[in-house]
Amino acid sequence: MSVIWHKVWFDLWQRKGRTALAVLSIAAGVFAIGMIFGMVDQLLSTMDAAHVATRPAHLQVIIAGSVDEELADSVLRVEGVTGVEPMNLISGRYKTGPDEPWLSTTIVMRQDYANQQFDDYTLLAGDWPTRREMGVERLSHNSFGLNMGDEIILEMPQTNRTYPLNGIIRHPFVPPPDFGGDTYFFVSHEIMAQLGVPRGRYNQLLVQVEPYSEAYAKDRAAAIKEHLNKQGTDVFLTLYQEPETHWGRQLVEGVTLVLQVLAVVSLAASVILVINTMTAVITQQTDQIGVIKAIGGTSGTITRIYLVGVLVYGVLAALIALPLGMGGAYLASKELLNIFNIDYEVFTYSNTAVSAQLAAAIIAPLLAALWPILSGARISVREAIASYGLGGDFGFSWFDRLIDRVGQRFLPTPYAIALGNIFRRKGRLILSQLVLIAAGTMFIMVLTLSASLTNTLENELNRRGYDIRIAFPRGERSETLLNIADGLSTLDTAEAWYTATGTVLREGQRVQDTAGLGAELFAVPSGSTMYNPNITRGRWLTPQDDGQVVVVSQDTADFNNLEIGDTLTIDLGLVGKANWILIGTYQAVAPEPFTTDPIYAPATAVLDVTKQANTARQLLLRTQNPTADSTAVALHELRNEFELRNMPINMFVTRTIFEEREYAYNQFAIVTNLLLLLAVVMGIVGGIGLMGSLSISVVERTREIGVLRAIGAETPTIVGMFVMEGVLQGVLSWLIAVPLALLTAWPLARLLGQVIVETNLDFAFSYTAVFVWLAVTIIIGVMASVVPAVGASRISVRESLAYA
Amino acid sequence: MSESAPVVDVRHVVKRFAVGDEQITVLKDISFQVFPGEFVSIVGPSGNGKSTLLNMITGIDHPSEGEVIVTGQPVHTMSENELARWRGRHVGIIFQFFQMLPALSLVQNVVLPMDFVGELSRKEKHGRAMHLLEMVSLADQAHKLPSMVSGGQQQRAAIARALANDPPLIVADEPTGNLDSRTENSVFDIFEALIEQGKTMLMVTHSRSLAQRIPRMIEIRDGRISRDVQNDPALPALVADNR
Repeated sequence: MSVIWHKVWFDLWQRKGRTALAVLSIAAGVFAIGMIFGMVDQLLSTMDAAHVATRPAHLQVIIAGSVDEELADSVLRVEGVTGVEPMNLISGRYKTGPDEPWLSTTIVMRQDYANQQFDDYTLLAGDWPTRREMGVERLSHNSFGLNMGDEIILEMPQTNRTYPLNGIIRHPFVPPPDFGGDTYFFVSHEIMAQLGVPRGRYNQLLVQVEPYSEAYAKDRAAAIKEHLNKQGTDVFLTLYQEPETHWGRQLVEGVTLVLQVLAVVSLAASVILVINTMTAVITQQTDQIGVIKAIGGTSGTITRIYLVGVLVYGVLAALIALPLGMGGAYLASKELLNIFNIDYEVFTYSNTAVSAQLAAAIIAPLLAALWPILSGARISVREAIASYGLGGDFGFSWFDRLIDRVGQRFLPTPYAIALGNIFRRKGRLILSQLVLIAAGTMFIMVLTLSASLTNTLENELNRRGYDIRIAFPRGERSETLLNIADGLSTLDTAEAWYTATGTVLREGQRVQDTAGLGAELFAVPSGSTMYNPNITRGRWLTPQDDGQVVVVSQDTADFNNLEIGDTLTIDLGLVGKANWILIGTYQAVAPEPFTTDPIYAPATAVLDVTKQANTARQLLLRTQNPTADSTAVALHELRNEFELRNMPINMFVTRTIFEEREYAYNQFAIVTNLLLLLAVVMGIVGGIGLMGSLSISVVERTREIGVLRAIGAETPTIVGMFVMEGVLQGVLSWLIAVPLALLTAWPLARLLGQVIVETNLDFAFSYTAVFVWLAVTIIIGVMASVVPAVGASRISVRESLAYA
Repeated sequence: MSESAPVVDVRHVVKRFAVGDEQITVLKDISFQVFPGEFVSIVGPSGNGKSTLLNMITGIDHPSEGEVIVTGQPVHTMSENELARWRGRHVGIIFQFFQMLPALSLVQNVVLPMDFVGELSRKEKHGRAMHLLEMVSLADQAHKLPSMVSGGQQQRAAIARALANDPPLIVADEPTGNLDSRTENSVFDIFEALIEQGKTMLMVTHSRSLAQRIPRMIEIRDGRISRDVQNDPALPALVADNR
């Protein structure tokens, strides 16, 4: 090995601080790439694979009432239907001990657990449900601490019964408890019969069609509905499933696209730091380059020496970032897959992400370093060795003179020098500022996005005038509901709303809804104060509206090119079919993936059409001085009251406004936490960048420092100059980042809102973020400058004047 | 004058530098020749162009006008990389501030130019480097880093490095400028020994006593050769100490 490689090794080892900074700055970007790209790869492929493995039904036909096996089997006669599997799913209540409170649950029964055809449930532990034992869903087991052997008391129409849990089962399509999902239990025919569904009757059909296409599946859903209607059975709702693509994919893709972009920005910032670091190294070793050339080394020799150094940085960064990125990607994937009820216990990594990391760690820094290295290698021996005095690189342009005048006028001389020094190397200043500005803009933008999400949620929640919403699976008498509500001591106002599910048609064609779940018509009482949606076009309902007018979601209107004044036909099945005029559209916020698309219409008109006068499916209540606790207590009281009167509650949509807030925040937390993590990575990268930049300044001004010392500058003055330079650089980047963030945050928040929550966010610029970032940049500026500053203060006059 | 081809042939060299908007002429029509085995000092007041002239000869800088032929090569026309390769084989340079690579030990510093030329095996390079260090009495310090030895020792190691590829021409820019008088003498003794071995040497110096010991002296004043004389060590010094 040529002795020159000793120099490479020496440079790396003796300058451990610089090596560590360079390696860490590359590693930060490579980590971000590895974690995000790895997560995306693992997440999407695992989600789809898990989905396909369950043999998903194309249609889930929810029956209004129930069908027997013969009628269920008759659906096979509908053209294109290749498979039908009946099942039962009901809402109920359970408790874990005689003295424990009743809790809501969803109870599921498959026709034959051992021979499932579609939407396969997986037995994770124990056994399938038996005559006297039942299973618990995996997420319920994890979130509510329900274990095999636990005794569960189920509420029964006659006598409540206790059943032990004998198995843990995975259901592929359950909402996560953190997002408001229910407890799920799995029971046998015998237990379902005890719960009031006679053996041999079913309230849901899982259906597959052939050849599958989304349009054909929807077409066949209509045919099945027609087939069942002819047999005197109505379809309550039809859910659609893509057989190859996991139902959560769209949501995840939106989030991950944003994260991927931010990860690439982090890598770009890291790469800029490599340029800065190599500029520092070359600057520091200009004289050595001169000597090497003077004794026979060529530009190629110089280029190779420094590229090898960068290669080592990259390899070390890869060694750090690869395991961290793989680990981070695995843990993040595991966490997110858990939300979708997918186990991910065996450590796995993405080959694509590892390849991307290796390229990011090795190739990107080499390419980035080429420019400073080639510039250094091209330097002539005379330039490298000769010295023609101090400075010479500042003070020529009008800008330099302006900075000089400002500094001399407003700052003590040493700090005026610090100000001038910032602008001495404008190329380097731009690079380090780019990193800091990118970090600052991202930080403010991320927090602005978070604030906008919060603002949007809060605005939406504020538009809801109720604290408690109680839903009933069957229609109840409005008067009874309101009378029961009147008994609540903290009641302010109550309204009973009728709702009906159905299909929306325009000119005979089915209108597409955003969730693919069908439509739900909400009958809004005249003068209602319970909901005042964000109207995007047309208008909201007024107390004078009593005709057949509707307000639909903006997304539904957009999907179907609906205009104000258009006529829509809403087919509510057995309860009626009528034409409605579209008068307005509203902005749906964070559409819940498990609910239908609400359509609002005046109660009088809906009841006219459906002939369901004095019937309600929802009770909305506003209480006095609501708090999370007071509304929870009120809801508990009301549930007990309804229970006494044998009025079942649909627990899936029954909740307080505080629970709705919590579930919504839980959904957003995943996105905001990941965004914040990237903002922190950017902050670290920015700090490293500034430190590198200041280190170069120290090297370049070694002789100047000597002169300052020779004429009486003490250590605090020298340290102060560099700290001042660091802080000024930080503040300068902040001054640019704030308006930049202000300009870019609005369109980006809008884009991110659309991508992540499919909503136009109510923009809220985070002024907190602006001031937090100012504090962060000042801290970064001080921290990044302390090491170079102390180094500068230790340079002796003799050393500094002998330099170069 | 020797009848063999000159090692250094400087022909009507002019060197100008741009300082702000002005052009300053540092060397004004300099011509001289140095023949094999000659030991030449270049003297003169500070800022009169001595180091610039040396830079023209080593190819470190290019003349604005004129020609510089060194070891038969037209140095003024060569590219940076051609110059680097040429210097590695034909010129040994000794700097005032030693310019040892701080990352390499003394022996590694000496091996480095041989690495660039790439003609010897690793063992041969090491053997030659140790021989050269022994010649400058540094064999026992060979594996120390430059920062661990004195200035005089660094300069002697720099001489060893300059001789690594056995170049015919040694160029030294104030090689004793940073040394005390005792060390200065020991370094100068090495130079004299090199001349006896047939090397050609050019040395910029401020030292009157040293210049007096060098057979030929070229004095530069205001960018021109004011004197080019042969010294007779028996006569009083011709050079004023401009230090």
